[in-house]
Amino acid sequence: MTIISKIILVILIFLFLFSLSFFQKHIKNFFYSISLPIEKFLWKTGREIELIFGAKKLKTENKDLKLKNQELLKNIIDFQAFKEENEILRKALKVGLEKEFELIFADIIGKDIFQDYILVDKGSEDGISANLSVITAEKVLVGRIDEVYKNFSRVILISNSQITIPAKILNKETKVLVEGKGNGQIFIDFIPLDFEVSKGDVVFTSAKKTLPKKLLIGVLKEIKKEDIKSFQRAQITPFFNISKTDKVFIIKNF
Amino acid sequence: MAKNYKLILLEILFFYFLAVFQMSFLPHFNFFLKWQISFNLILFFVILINFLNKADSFWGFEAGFLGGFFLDVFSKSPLPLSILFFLILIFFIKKILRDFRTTIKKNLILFFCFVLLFSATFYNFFLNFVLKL
Repeated sequence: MTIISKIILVILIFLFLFSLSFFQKHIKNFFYSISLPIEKFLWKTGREIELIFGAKKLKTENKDLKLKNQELLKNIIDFQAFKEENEILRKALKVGLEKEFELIFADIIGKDIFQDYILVDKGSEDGISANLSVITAEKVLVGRIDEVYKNFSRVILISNSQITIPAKILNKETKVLVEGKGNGQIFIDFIPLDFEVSKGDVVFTSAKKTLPKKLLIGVLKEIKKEDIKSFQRAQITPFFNISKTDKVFIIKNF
Repeated sequence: MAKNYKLILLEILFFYFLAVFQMSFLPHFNFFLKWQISFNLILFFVILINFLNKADSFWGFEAGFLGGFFLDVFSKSPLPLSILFFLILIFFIKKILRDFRTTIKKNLILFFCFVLLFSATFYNFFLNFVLKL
């Protein structure tokens, strides 16, 4: 094989490979469609096995949880008060989740290897479009629709490093910006130093064009104050646990 | 010739099921995630197949193409990003295996581990970089 024919061969290979990018939506949708039963089976099996192995881990977790129990009791009392108030308001207004939003119910069928994306079984045929918010039944924000295929959609989780969400901390006035840092981690980077926050404070969304307000995000886990910097940083424990969630809701309208 | 076709067909099925398994089953067992390490079985097998094949032959490139293709299909990376990454990686693996045959033969497992670790880290960086563009 001469050098010229080698070069032509390489160019042809590259052209062929780049031509794939034009059909990628069709290709991906085709493979997702034929893999759906296997993916569902593997996802469920994986979850069951995870639960079996998790039993041992639960013993140690149980010990730690007992220690944390007292600390959390205080928070529970606060939460209870909010819950009661919320329930009264809901009853008064007769507003349920389905009345607050126009929802589309979806099953999780896969998760990206880098963990900050999930795949759901609803696509453009079901009326899904990009940037719609995805929540759990408990009104916890999971992420937003990133890419839509015919029968499937990819959801970018709030822990993804490309995500920033305008948010508020319960009972505080200042708005903050929640940022995903990848691998399931969420932070608030710029909290003014004079702004008092404490461990266990609840974080929820504030209004944005594409994002409904008052969707739960998580609780403050760790707050770092450094005198040198003019801001403090807080890590958030998200309310959702994607490996324990099978079903989500996509907010079509709010 | 028929044997070659059978082998390619087997590889197609193997990488397809591997990609589905990696995406739907393994996320439940990603224990090392806090150290930013995630399982990438496809990368592992693509490199392994290339180490098992002769450095002078073209066999191994088809594994890179198929592995990359299914990784692109079932993950966030756009087509043909992983295919290109794997083909370039295989080109360099084969070149190094050819040029430093005797030295590498003595430390084959060590070299395999090094290539795996290096390419897994580089792949993550490469993918994150391209996705942010």
